This record gives sequence, C-alpha cells and structure tokens, in this order.
Amino acid sequence: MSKAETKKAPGTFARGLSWALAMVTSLLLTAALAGCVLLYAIHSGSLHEKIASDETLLRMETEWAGGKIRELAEEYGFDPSRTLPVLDREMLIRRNLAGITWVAETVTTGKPKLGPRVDDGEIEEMLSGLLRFPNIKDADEAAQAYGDAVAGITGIIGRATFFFRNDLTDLGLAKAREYADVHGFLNLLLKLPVILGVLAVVLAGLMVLLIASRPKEALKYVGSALGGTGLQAAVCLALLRWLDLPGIVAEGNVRLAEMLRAAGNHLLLPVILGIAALLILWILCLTIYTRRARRAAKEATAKA
Amino acid sequence: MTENVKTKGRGAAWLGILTAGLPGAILLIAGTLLARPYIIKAVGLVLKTVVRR
Repeated sequence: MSKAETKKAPGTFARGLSWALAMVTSLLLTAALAGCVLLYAIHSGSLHEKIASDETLLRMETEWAGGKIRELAEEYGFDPSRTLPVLDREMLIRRNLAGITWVAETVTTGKPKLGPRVDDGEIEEMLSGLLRFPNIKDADEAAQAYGDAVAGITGIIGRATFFFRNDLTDLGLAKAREYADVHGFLNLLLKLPVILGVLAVVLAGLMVLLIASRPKEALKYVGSALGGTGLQAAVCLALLRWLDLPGIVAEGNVRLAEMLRAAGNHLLLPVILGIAALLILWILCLTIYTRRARRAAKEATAKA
Repeated sequence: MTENVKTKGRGAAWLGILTAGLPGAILLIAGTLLARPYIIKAVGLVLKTVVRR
C-alpha cells in the first residue's frame, strides 16, 4: 500500500468514533424530533382548531352536559328539552379552543392565567329565551330559581369543555414562581429541541472532519445517523401507541382523553412524514456513498 | 466486482442503520418498559390533583 493510499483511508479509531458519534447523533435527533412534535402541538393554532372541533369530542361533551342539565332540570323543575339547544356546537368549539389556548399559554409562560378566556354572557343570553319555570308561580322564587339554574348550566358547560382545576394550577404556579424562575426554565425547555438539533449538526460535522480524507465516506455515517433517527422515531411512535396515554387519562376524564386522542390522530401524519423523510435521506446518503464506492472499484479494475 | 460493491453498499446501509439506531431503540424500549408503571402512577396523580372528572 502506497503512502498516499494510507493517508486516504480513515483509520479504525476514526471509523469507530464515527459510529459512536452516529449513535449519539441519532439519539439527539430523535429527542429533537420528539421536542419539535411537542412544540408543534403547543404552538400550532390550526391543530388546536382541529382538536377543538373534533366530532367525537363535541358529541361526548354534548352528551355529558345534556345529562347534567337533565339532572338540574329535575331539581329546579324546568323543561330540559327546551333548554338543551344551549349546547350550541359553535359555542362548544369556541370554549374548547379557549381551554386549549389556556393550556398552551400556561405551559409556555408559566404564569397563572385565572382560567380560559370565555364569554359566559352568551350562555346567559341564550338561556333567557329558553329557560322557563312553569311550576313556580311566585315571581321572586322564579327569579331565584332562574338565577341558580343559569349559574348551574354555565358551570356544567364550563366543566364539559374545560377539565383543569385552574384554581389549583394557578396556586401551584404562583408558589413555584416564588422559589424558581419558572418562565426561564420553560423558555429553556422549549428551546431544547433547537439546542439538540444544533448539537446533532455539530456531531455530524465532527464525523465529516474525522473522515476528512474521504468526505463522501462520511455520508455513510451521517446517513446512518439519519436512518437510525427514523428507526428510533418509529420505535417511539409504536411505544406511545402501546403506552396508550389517552386510555390512562380516560380513567380520570374521558373528554380530556378524547382530546388527547384527537391530538394524537392529527399529529400522526406529520410524524409519519418526518420518519419517511429521515429514511429517504438515509437512502439518499447511502446511495451517494455506494456510487462513489462503485466508481472507485471500477477505477481500480481499470488500473489493474 | 461492481455487483460485489453493490451488495457491500446495501449491506453497509442496513448495518449502518442498525449500528446507529438499534442501541438507541433498545434503550427506548427498555426505558419505556421499566418506566411504564411510574408513568401510569404519575399520570394518575396529576389527574387526581388537577383534572376534574
């Protein structure tokens, strides 16, 4: 072997280290990808709208609130069938969206939000034309019953569309903010996918440097890291499906579980496309690398 | 010779994805299997504390 050829070939150490870096890079990229999906779930307005208007979720909310309003009707003596149109589809969607926005803002800012921004006035307005107490003759009693029933129905609709004890979360956040920089911590956490992505790029650059004498051979390691990320992301997806988080959450609140299920369903396609893109990049890198190797082999044959 | 390199290339592709991805995948699977009971407990605790039925 000539001196020039010896210089060209990457050594065992460089190859070994490159494989190790490929492993670490794929893990970093998988974590970055998972973080990106989470960031997309937090920030994407269109995803929030899709979840808020999920038909199964709306049906579950209508059924649950309808049942509670019927119980309330038995207690106060009003006609539930006249009152149920208050569960207007558009109003439920607006309230779902306000709830999701509350979660997203609380998670990103770490500030107590005093509940979602909803307009209870629209429920009162709708009820003014629907709520009647034919069995109560006394005007004062009827006014009292009307006020109580309106408050009860508003509460039911609030609980049908928003599932968090925001008084507790607000209190917890306010206490936590006294002892720690919650906003700074969340800010760092939300930037983590970008930091991990940059680290992965730095490691990929290191692999190229290690195989500096044959830059195209570095494609083998970079491509493998990308393919490895696709493989790990697919494993993560399968594990999440197996864990069935909505199923676990359903034990606490079935409507929140449905919201999670809807989010998962809407996120599935972008995640699968991301995995496919990584695998395509893997094949592309390896194809370029193989072509180079084939050409080198042909040249060697021609020389011989 | 060309065929040999082709095979070697394909082999390198599969070997590459397995070398780079499999250890992480095994780590993820083992971690999830081990953490599952704790994840269920943690989610249950959060649900009990901050989520209304």
